[in-house]
Amino acid sequence: MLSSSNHLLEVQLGDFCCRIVCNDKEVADSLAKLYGDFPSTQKPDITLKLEIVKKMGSTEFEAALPEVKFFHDGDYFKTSCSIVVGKRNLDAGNVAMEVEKHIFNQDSGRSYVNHAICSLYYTACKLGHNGNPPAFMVHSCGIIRHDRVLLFSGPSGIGKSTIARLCGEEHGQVINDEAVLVHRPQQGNNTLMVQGIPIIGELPHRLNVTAPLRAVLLLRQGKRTSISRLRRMEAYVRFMRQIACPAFIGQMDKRAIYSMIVDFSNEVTQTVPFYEFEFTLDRTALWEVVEELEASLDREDR
Amino acid sequence: MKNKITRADDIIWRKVEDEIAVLKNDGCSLHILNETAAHIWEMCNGNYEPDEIAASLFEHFDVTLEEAKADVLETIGKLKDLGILKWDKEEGEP
Repeated sequence: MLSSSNHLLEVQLGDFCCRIVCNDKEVADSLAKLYGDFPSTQKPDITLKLEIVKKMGSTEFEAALPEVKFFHDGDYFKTSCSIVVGKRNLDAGNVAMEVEKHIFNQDSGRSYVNHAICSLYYTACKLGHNGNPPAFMVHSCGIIRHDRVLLFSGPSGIGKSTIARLCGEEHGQVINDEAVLVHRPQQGNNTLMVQGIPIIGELPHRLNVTAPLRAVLLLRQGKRTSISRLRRMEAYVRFMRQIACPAFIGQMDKRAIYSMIVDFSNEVTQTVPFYEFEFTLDRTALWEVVEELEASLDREDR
Repeated sequence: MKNKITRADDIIWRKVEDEIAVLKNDGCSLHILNETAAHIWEMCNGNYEPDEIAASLFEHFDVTLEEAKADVLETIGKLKDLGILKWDKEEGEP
């Protein structure tokens, strides 16, 4: 039974519905705004019971945040300084978290909220697919052009959001400037699908869409705009590093986690072409190079 | 005494085309083996001695038997130093 002071939100995470129950109206409203493009009407697969607390001053919180580490002990988990304290109950399909309110108020807390969404997604995969995710979260800016997705992939700070800004509205539709879900290939179908997910990047909007993946461009900031096809092994190794850790909450078996990463990287790199994309802030040159790439892929398709 | 070599327990490895990627379970180190080293690696399964691996290398690559023996010992030594190969415990290190 939910108390009247709880606020409900149901969010679509890939194939799953995550019900968020929050005791704080301000945080619930903020999450509803952030995740507003990802409403879910499915029966919830996982429930997050979010209890917001305010035990720390903002200065104390700011000082503690860069040093935050996660600890797990069976079903229990917490961060240093107890910014997050929680318990999972996989049998009941729920996760309870007590979270310091400041984490929702500041940009610096964004990566922790994203981390929580990522962990909830993989926990839902544990519950619904016996730990075999149908799709993996990849650090990428996904852009739809001509009905297919180009993934601009790379670590934080490499320029994913810059690419999204340089895209604007005239060069494509940005799905997300931080991360997307890439589905595993289905038997008998060699097309990989990319799906939007409510991970928060620097841009204010995210698209709740699914479209086929055309190519992956691994980003490199440079002094010119150029593109070159990557050897399979290089693509495999570099793409592996862009796959967000596919661990469910409390998962400690690193071998299982890394096995999923290497196998998924193998599946993607053998299915779509990979390129190294060196770019500058020259918007015209950037999209000219992308158009040339698409023209060459069109020729390959024929 | 036979000297057979096997792979470390705390690794994950996958063949990608002709090469092999070996990842330590901690996720911190990743090693890429070229085609020759990959051939040697695939035979390091506890069933073969270095001389047998060298004979196979001689058969499949454009090298003399002496070169193959030297390559096998050098590669095994390097991979052992990296902690991804080990001498079979029951047989003992030479």
